[in-house]
Amino acid sequence: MTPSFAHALVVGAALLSGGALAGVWRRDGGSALAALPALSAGAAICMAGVTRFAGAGHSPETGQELAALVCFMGLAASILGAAWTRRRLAR
Amino acid sequence: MDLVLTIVFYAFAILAVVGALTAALSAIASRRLLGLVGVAVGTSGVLFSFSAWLVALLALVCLGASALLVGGGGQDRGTASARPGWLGEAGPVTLAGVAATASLFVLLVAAAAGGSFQNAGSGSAGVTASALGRVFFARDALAVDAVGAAVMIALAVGALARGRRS
Repeated sequence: MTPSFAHALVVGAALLSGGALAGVWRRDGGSALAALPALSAGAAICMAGVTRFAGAGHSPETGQELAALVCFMGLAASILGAAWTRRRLAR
Repeated sequence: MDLVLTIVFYAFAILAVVGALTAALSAIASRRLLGLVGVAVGTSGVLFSFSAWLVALLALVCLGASALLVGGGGQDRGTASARPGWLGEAGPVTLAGVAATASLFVLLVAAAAGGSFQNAGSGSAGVTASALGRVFFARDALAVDAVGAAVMIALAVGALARGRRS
Protein backbone atom coordinates (compact mmCIF):
# COMPACT_ATOMS: atom_id res chain seq x y z
CA MET A 1 0.00 0.00 0.00
CA THR A 2 2.05 2.91 -1.30
CA PRO A 3 1.52 6.19 0.54
CA SER A 4 -0.21 8.92 -1.41
CA PHE A 5 -1.30 12.48 -0.77
CA ALA A 6 -4.45 11.17 0.89
CA HIS A 7 -2.37 9.17 3.37
CA ALA A 8 -0.30 12.24 4.20
CA LEU A 9 -3.46 14.26 4.74
CA VAL A 10 -4.92 11.55 6.96
CA VAL A 11 -1.82 11.48 9.16
CA GLY A 12 -1.83 15.28 9.32
CA ALA A 13 -5.51 15.34 10.19
CA ALA A 14 -4.97 12.76 12.94
CA LEU A 15 -2.22 14.87 14.47
CA LEU A 16 -4.30 18.03 14.22
CA SER A 17 -7.20 16.24 15.87
CA GLY A 18 -4.93 14.95 18.61
CA GLY A 19 -3.71 18.48 19.23
CA ALA A 20 -7.25 19.82 19.36
CA LEU A 21 -8.11 17.03 21.77
CA ALA A 22 -5.23 18.01 24.02
CA GLY A 23 -6.45 21.61 24.02
CA VAL A 24 -9.99 20.63 24.92
CA TRP A 25 -9.16 17.81 27.34
CA ARG A 26 -6.96 19.74 29.75
CA ARG A 27 -8.44 22.31 32.07
CA ASP A 28 -5.28 24.09 33.16
CA GLY A 29 -3.47 26.21 30.63
CA GLY A 30 -0.06 24.64 31.13
CA SER A 31 -1.22 21.16 30.21
CA ALA A 32 -3.30 22.46 27.34
CA LEU A 33 -0.13 23.81 25.78
CA ALA A 34 0.68 20.22 24.80
CA ALA A 35 -1.63 20.88 21.86
CA LEU A 36 0.89 23.17 20.17
CA PRO A 37 3.49 20.59 19.02
CA ALA A 38 0.82 18.23 17.73
CA LEU A 39 -0.95 21.01 15.83
CA SER A 40 2.31 22.17 14.28
CA ALA A 41 3.27 18.61 13.34
CA GLY A 42 -0.03 17.98 11.59
CA ALA A 43 0.15 21.18 9.59
CA ALA A 44 3.79 20.52 8.65
CA ILE A 45 3.02 17.04 7.35
CA CYS A 46 0.16 18.40 5.24
CA MET A 47 2.36 21.12 3.77
CA ALA A 48 5.24 18.76 3.00
CA GLY A 49 2.82 16.25 1.50
CA VAL A 50 1.62 18.85 -0.98
CA THR A 51 5.14 19.27 -2.27
CA ARG A 52 5.91 15.54 -2.30
CA PHE A 53 2.80 14.48 -4.20
CA ALA A 54 1.94 17.58 -6.24
CA GLY A 55 2.03 17.50 -10.00
CA ALA A 56 4.53 19.36 -12.11
CA GLY A 57 4.30 23.06 -12.80
CA HIS A 58 4.49 24.35 -9.25
CA SER A 59 7.36 25.60 -7.18
CA PRO A 60 8.81 22.39 -5.73
CA GLU A 61 10.10 23.85 -2.49
CA THR A 62 7.10 25.94 -1.44
CA GLY A 63 5.41 23.22 0.60
CA GLN A 64 8.62 22.33 2.40
CA GLU A 65 9.26 25.99 3.19
CA LEU A 66 5.77 26.33 4.58
CA ALA A 67 6.28 23.17 6.67
CA ALA A 68 9.49 24.62 8.12
CA LEU A 69 7.67 27.89 8.82
CA VAL A 70 4.89 26.02 10.63
CA CYS A 71 7.47 24.21 12.79
CA PHE A 72 9.10 27.54 13.66
CA MET A 73 5.73 29.03 14.50
CA GLY A 74 4.96 26.08 16.78
CA LEU A 75 8.25 26.54 18.60
CA ALA A 76 7.66 30.27 18.99
CA ALA A 77 4.14 29.70 20.32
CA SER A 78 5.46 27.07 22.75
CA ILE A 79 8.08 29.51 24.06
CA LEU A 80 5.44 32.17 24.57
CA GLY A 81 3.03 29.72 26.20
CA ALA A 82 5.65 28.27 28.54
CA ALA A 83 6.76 31.77 29.58
CA TRP A 84 3.17 32.81 30.17
CA THR A 85 2.46 29.70 32.27
CA ARG A 86 5.58 30.12 34.41
CA ARG A 87 4.84 33.78 34.97
CA ARG A 88 1.33 32.92 36.07
CA LEU A 89 2.61 30.23 38.43
CA ALA A 90 5.15 32.64 39.90
CA ARG A 91 2.41 35.04 40.99
CA MET B 1 7.65 5.46 -3.38
CA ASP B 2 10.35 3.05 -2.33
CA LEU B 3 9.43 0.10 -0.10
CA VAL B 4 11.79 1.17 2.67
CA LEU B 5 10.40 4.71 2.63
CA THR B 6 6.87 3.27 2.69
CA ILE B 7 7.67 1.27 5.81
CA VAL B 8 9.33 4.34 7.34
CA PHE B 9 6.24 6.43 6.54
CA TYR B 10 3.78 4.07 8.20
CA ALA B 11 5.97 3.30 11.22
CA PHE B 12 6.64 6.94 12.05
CA ALA B 13 3.08 7.97 11.27
CA ILE B 14 1.82 5.46 13.84
CA LEU B 15 4.41 6.70 16.33
CA ALA B 16 3.36 10.33 15.82
CA VAL B 17 -0.36 9.65 16.16
CA VAL B 18 0.07 7.44 19.24
CA GLY B 19 2.33 10.09 20.77
CA ALA B 20 -0.25 12.80 20.13
CA LEU B 21 -2.97 10.75 21.76
CA THR B 22 -0.73 9.96 24.73
CA ALA B 23 0.12 13.63 25.15
CA ALA B 24 -3.55 14.56 24.96
CA LEU B 25 -4.93 11.97 27.33
CA SER B 26 -2.22 11.26 29.88
CA ALA B 27 -2.46 13.03 33.22
CA ILE B 28 1.17 12.33 34.19
CA ALA B 29 3.67 14.95 33.06
CA SER B 30 6.43 12.48 32.24
CA ARG B 31 4.14 10.44 29.98
CA ARG B 32 2.91 13.62 28.33
CA LEU B 33 6.51 14.60 27.64
CA LEU B 34 7.20 11.15 26.23
CA GLY B 35 4.19 11.44 23.95
CA LEU B 36 5.30 14.83 22.67
CA VAL B 37 8.78 13.50 21.98
CA GLY B 38 7.09 10.70 20.05
CA VAL B 39 5.22 13.33 18.02
CA ALA B 40 8.50 15.09 17.22
CA VAL B 41 10.32 11.92 16.20
CA GLY B 42 7.36 10.55 14.26
CA THR B 43 6.80 13.77 12.36
CA SER B 44 10.48 13.97 11.51
CA GLY B 45 10.38 10.40 10.22
CA VAL B 46 7.32 11.07 8.07
CA LEU B 47 8.97 14.14 6.57
CA PHE B 48 12.11 12.06 6.02
CA SER B 49 10.05 9.55 4.04
CA PHE B 50 8.90 12.46 1.86
CA SER B 51 12.58 13.06 1.00
CA ALA B 52 12.42 16.41 2.80
CA TRP B 53 15.69 15.97 4.68
CA LEU B 54 16.19 19.53 5.86
CA VAL B 55 12.59 19.97 6.97
CA ALA B 56 12.76 16.65 8.83
CA LEU B 57 15.79 17.88 10.76
CA LEU B 58 14.16 21.25 11.46
CA ALA B 59 10.96 19.52 12.61
CA LEU B 60 12.93 17.28 14.95
CA VAL B 61 14.72 20.27 16.50
CA CYS B 62 11.70 22.61 16.68
CA LEU B 63 9.10 20.07 17.80
CA GLY B 64 11.57 18.44 20.22
CA ALA B 65 12.36 21.79 21.81
CA SER B 66 8.67 22.59 21.91
CA ALA B 67 7.95 19.26 23.61
CA LEU B 68 10.63 19.89 26.22
CA LEU B 69 9.30 23.39 26.88
CA VAL B 70 5.65 22.43 27.07
CA GLY B 71 5.82 18.89 28.42
CA GLY B 72 8.35 19.60 31.14
CA GLY B 73 6.37 22.51 32.54
CA GLY B 74 5.00 20.47 35.44
CA GLN B 75 8.48 19.83 36.80
CA ASP B 76 9.24 23.54 37.17
CA ARG B 77 6.39 24.36 39.49
CA GLY B 78 8.58 24.02 42.57
CA THR B 79 11.10 26.52 41.28
CA ALA B 80 8.65 28.88 39.65
CA SER B 81 8.99 31.46 42.39
CA ALA B 82 12.65 32.04 41.53
CA ARG B 83 12.49 34.90 39.08
CA PRO B 84 15.62 35.39 37.01
CA GLY B 85 16.93 38.93 36.79
CA TRP B 86 19.57 39.29 34.11
CA LEU B 87 20.86 36.66 31.77
CA GLY B 88 23.60 35.55 34.14
CA GLU B 89 21.12 34.88 36.92
CA ALA B 90 18.71 32.98 34.71
CA GLY B 91 18.20 29.25 35.02
CA PRO B 92 19.09 26.74 32.34
CA VAL B 93 15.55 26.59 31.01
CA THR B 94 15.45 30.36 30.55
CA LEU B 95 18.86 30.34 28.90
CA ALA B 96 17.71 27.58 26.55
CA GLY B 97 14.66 29.67 25.68
CA VAL B 98 16.80 32.72 24.94
CA ALA B 99 19.13 30.65 22.76
CA ALA B 100 16.17 29.12 20.93
CA THR B 101 14.71 32.57 20.31
CA ALA B 102 17.99 33.85 18.91
CA SER B 103 18.30 30.78 16.70
CA LEU B 104 14.74 31.26 15.51
CA PHE B 105 15.51 34.85 14.53
CA VAL B 106 18.64 33.86 12.62
CA LEU B 107 16.88 31.03 10.82
CA LEU B 108 13.93 33.21 9.87
CA VAL B 109 16.25 35.86 8.46
CA ALA B 110 18.14 33.21 6.49
CA ALA B 111 14.88 31.77 5.15
CA ALA B 112 13.59 35.20 4.17
CA ALA B 113 16.82 36.08 2.38
CA GLY B 114 17.57 32.77 0.69
CA GLY B 115 14.18 31.14 0.22
CA SER B 116 11.76 31.52 -2.63
CA PHE B 117 9.18 33.47 -0.63
CA GLN B 118 10.41 36.71 -2.13
CA ASN B 119 9.60 35.44 -5.63
CA ALA B 120 6.06 34.39 -4.76
CA GLY B 121 4.43 37.52 -6.09
CA SER B 122 6.31 37.68 -9.36
CA GLY B 123 4.17 35.08 -11.10
CA SER B 124 6.99 32.62 -11.64
CA ALA B 125 6.19 30.62 -8.52
CA GLY B 126 3.17 28.35 -8.30
CA VAL B 127 1.62 29.83 -5.14
CA THR B 128 0.12 33.27 -5.53
CA ALA B 129 -2.86 34.90 -3.89
CA SER B 130 -4.96 34.76 -7.05
CA ALA B 131 -4.12 31.10 -7.65
CA LEU B 132 -5.02 30.21 -4.08
CA GLY B 133 -8.28 32.14 -4.40
CA ARG B 134 -9.21 30.26 -7.57
CA VAL B 135 -8.46 26.93 -5.90
CA PHE B 136 -10.27 27.66 -2.63
CA PHE B 137 -13.32 29.48 -3.92
CA ALA B 138 -13.86 28.01 -7.38
CA ARG B 139 -12.45 24.55 -7.94
CA ASP B 140 -12.56 23.21 -4.36
CA ALA B 141 -15.27 25.47 -2.95
CA LEU B 142 -17.39 22.59 -1.63
CA ALA B 143 -14.43 20.97 0.15
CA VAL B 144 -13.47 24.31 1.73
CA ASP B 145 -17.04 24.78 2.93
CA ALA B 146 -17.05 21.27 4.42
CA VAL B 147 -13.78 21.88 6.25
CA GLY B 148 -15.07 25.19 7.60
CA ALA B 149 -18.27 23.57 8.84
CA ALA B 150 -16.34 20.73 10.49
CA VAL B 151 -14.02 23.18 12.25
CA MET B 152 -16.98 25.27 13.43
CA ILE B 153 -18.77 22.19 14.82
CA ALA B 154 -15.59 21.00 16.56
CA LEU B 155 -15.06 24.42 18.16
CA ALA B 156 -18.69 24.58 19.29
CA VAL B 157 -18.54 21.08 20.82
CA GLY B 158 -15.25 21.90 22.54
CA ALA B 159 -16.62 25.15 23.96
CA LEU B 160 -19.74 23.32 25.17
CA ALA B 161 -17.66 20.60 26.86
CA ARG B 162 -15.42 23.15 28.55
CA GLY B 163 -18.40 25.21 29.69
CA ARG B 164 -20.02 22.17 31.27
CA ARG B 165 -16.85 21.27 33.15
CA SER B 166 -16.46 24.71 34.66
